[in-house]
Amino acid sequence: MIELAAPHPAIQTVTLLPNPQFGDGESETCEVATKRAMDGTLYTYVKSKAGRRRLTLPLNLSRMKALELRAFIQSYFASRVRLTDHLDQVWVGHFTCNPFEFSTPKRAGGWPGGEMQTIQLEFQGVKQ
Amino acid sequence: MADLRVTRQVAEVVASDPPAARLLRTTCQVAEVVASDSPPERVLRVTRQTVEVMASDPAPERKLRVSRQAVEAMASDPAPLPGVEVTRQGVEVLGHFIPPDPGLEVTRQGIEVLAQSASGLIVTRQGVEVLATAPDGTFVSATNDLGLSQTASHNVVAGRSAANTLSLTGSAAVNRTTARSASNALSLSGTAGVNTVYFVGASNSLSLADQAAGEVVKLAHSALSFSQQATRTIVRQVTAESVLALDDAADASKVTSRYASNALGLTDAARVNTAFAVEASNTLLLADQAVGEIIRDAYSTLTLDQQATCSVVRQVSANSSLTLDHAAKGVGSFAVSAENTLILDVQATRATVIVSEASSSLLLGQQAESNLSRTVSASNVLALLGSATGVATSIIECSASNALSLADQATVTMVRVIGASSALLLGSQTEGSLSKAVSASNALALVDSASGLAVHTIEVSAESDLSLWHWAEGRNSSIYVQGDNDLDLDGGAHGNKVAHVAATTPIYFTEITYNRLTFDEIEVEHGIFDAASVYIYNDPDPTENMLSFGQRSGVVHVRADGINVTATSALALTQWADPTPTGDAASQLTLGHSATVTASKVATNTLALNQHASFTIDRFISAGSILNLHQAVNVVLVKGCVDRSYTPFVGSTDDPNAPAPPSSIVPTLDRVEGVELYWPVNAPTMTVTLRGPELDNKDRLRFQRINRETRGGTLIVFADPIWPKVQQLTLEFVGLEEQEAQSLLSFITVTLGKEVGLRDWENRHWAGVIVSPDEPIIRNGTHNISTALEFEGVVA
Repeated sequence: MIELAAPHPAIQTVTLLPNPQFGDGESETCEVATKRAMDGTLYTYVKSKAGRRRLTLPLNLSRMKALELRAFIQSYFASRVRLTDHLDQVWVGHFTCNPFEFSTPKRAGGWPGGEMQTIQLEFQGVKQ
Repeated sequence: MADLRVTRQVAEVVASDPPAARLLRTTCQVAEVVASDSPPERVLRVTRQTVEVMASDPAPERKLRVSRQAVEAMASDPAPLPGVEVTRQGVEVLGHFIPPDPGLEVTRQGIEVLAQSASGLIVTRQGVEVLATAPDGTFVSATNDLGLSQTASHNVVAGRSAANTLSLTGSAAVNRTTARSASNALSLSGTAGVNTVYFVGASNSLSLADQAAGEVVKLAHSALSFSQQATRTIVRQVTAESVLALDDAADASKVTSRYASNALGLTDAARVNTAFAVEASNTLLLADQAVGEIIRDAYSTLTLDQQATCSVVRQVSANSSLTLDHAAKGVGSFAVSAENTLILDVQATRATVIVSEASSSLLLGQQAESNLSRTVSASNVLALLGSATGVATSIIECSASNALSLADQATVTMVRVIGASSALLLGSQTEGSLSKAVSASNALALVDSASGLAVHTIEVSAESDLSLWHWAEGRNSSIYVQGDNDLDLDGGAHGNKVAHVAATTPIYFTEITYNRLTFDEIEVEHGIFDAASVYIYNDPDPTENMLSFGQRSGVVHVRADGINVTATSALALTQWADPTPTGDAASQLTLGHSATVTASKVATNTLALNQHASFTIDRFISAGSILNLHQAVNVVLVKGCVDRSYTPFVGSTDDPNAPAPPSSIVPTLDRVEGVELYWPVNAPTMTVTLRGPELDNKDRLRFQRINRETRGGTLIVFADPIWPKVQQLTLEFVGLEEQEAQSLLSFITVTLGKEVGLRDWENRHWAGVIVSPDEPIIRNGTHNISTALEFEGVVA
């Protein structure tokens, strides 16, 4: 289960989401630039980004949960969000994807709203 | 009405309206006519009513209309009516009118009216000038404006006394008046005990004439920055009156009198008059005070110059000129050596000096034993003249300058002692063939002893101690000036060397005896030709003549706050004579003069009056730091299917900057058939209904945000709430009929760029714009037309 809480640190709203689908990603945001001198010496220039990482979470949501997430995003798209991922790791950061695209790939009988919607959230934050 | 021209005739009518009736209303225009009445005629009578109208005219340009005649009319009213008085505006017009027009000038009468009128009137410069030239009897109440009394009430605070001390800013508008009321205005009432000091300070320094510039505060603090005041005539006048001008310091009486009259009053000046003169001559030079730099002189106050312009100084210089200029050699050294001892020739001839010594400080101890000691003391010179005539005759003349002469005729053993002054007790002892002992009381002892070979042994010791101690003190209730002048003259000469020279040189004997070998008579001379040198050589005690002049001048200027500061001037004259074995008497005169003058500091510190005139504004400065603490409460209830249903947990917060939380109300989704487009939104007149879109419809949320990374890599995201939030639907339709497709195209054509309504398959109504008008319809087959639609809007 993924927990989104915002705004951080004075949390006002909490939204619970199901675990992401396989294919989720976690990567560094740091950058490295390499320069090689004429004599072959390699110089690297790095940006560490203060330990910030990029999380990519593909979610399959019910229609109602998608609406909840949609409302959550509309409120806190620019706020600091505390994200507790499915590994119980707590992250604090921001949503970085734009636009947020909800797609309705198929029907989902029995799920609230009768449809399944997918969205791929991109989140950048620092692990707490 | 404004076009009506008021003629003189009209004005006359108005002016002639008696005060009792006053039925006619004097307008401004009428007043102008009256005021512009040229001097030759001046037929029109300016009534008080007219003047009131002129004075109360708010229009600035009409101020010039108030003429002298008008003011005179106001002033000449013997019985002013209640409510009718000379207004401030009228006087201001008089004062500010530069250059004055003929006939428009400030008259004494007008100013007197002002001065006698109620407070609050501002007397302008021009008005004051008029008053200044007025004869006696003109009353000016300019002093009312300089109220500085409140400044003393906040001394205790003194938090920032440096800046806030003398806040006389309130009196800036009355500076010109200050010149006249300097004595009254600067009433530092709190310092009643320092009134005298204050006068000195006020006259010399504390002329607060520059209060208008706001530098009064600085003056008061630095307290000694009075330089700028010298440039003002009024200040200089005050200075002259306060008479710190010690310009004729050489004349002690004048200085004393001025001191007495002024703040520096040396109350004991009469008693220490002479001493003060010495001080003044030696040390106290307060000159150039009349040049306007009195203040500075007063600060430096005690420039100790050794100017020997006074009689007392000359005496001292005479003493210091005691030179042992002729070293005794041979016979002549006898007399010279005696002179070397103490040559006080000049002083001895002046009775005044002696009197002064007797009264003050010249202690000639050895003279006290007899009445003639005075003469002897003067004759410390003790000139011993020796003359030898004949073989067996030794004539020794010992003359103590005027009194003592020793004549020794060397006729065998005869010793003739001439003590005319009898100051010297000359005792003669004869031992053997020739023995003489001469002693001059305590100071001059001539001992002549001859034993054996009749060698004269004369010991002469002369000792003279001269000490001058002089002390001058002046004191006032406020300023305490103390001057010390210590002059110590120590002249001491003792030892056998001087004496034996005098005795031995002229005395020699010739003896006839027998040669033991030949038994012939031979003459053998015995004499003490250079015995002096022998004695000097053998004498273990050095002969020295120490003369020291000690002069110390201390001036203490006691400030009002009681801090003593001393100024010392030390003048030391040391003289030391060391006869060499060869008989040469060397004289070394060392003049050491060390003058430590701290008088400048004295004066500088003395007149620091800054502590009395301190006014501190107790300024309360509050520093605020607002710490906003916000709290938020949220409860998460995890139960079944919370990850599928619409269950946002919305708490509460008091943070006003927190974004609006999402709605906790579960949205209602009603399944309906198809999608409907309609226009206009509020009152649709055109509607197109399509079947429901295919799956994979998109719902995009696009926000305007700013993403920035700090130098440390921290991501900062910001979005203003008013920035656009775009919601976009992407719908794809298939299986449309031709009619539906054409209706859609027609709808797009008609509503191009217009806000249309969209009811989706969940019965939600959107309001927005179709942003893909060029999307084609594709005829995939019969009754199978597909198309796509992009709609940007918001849920209504």
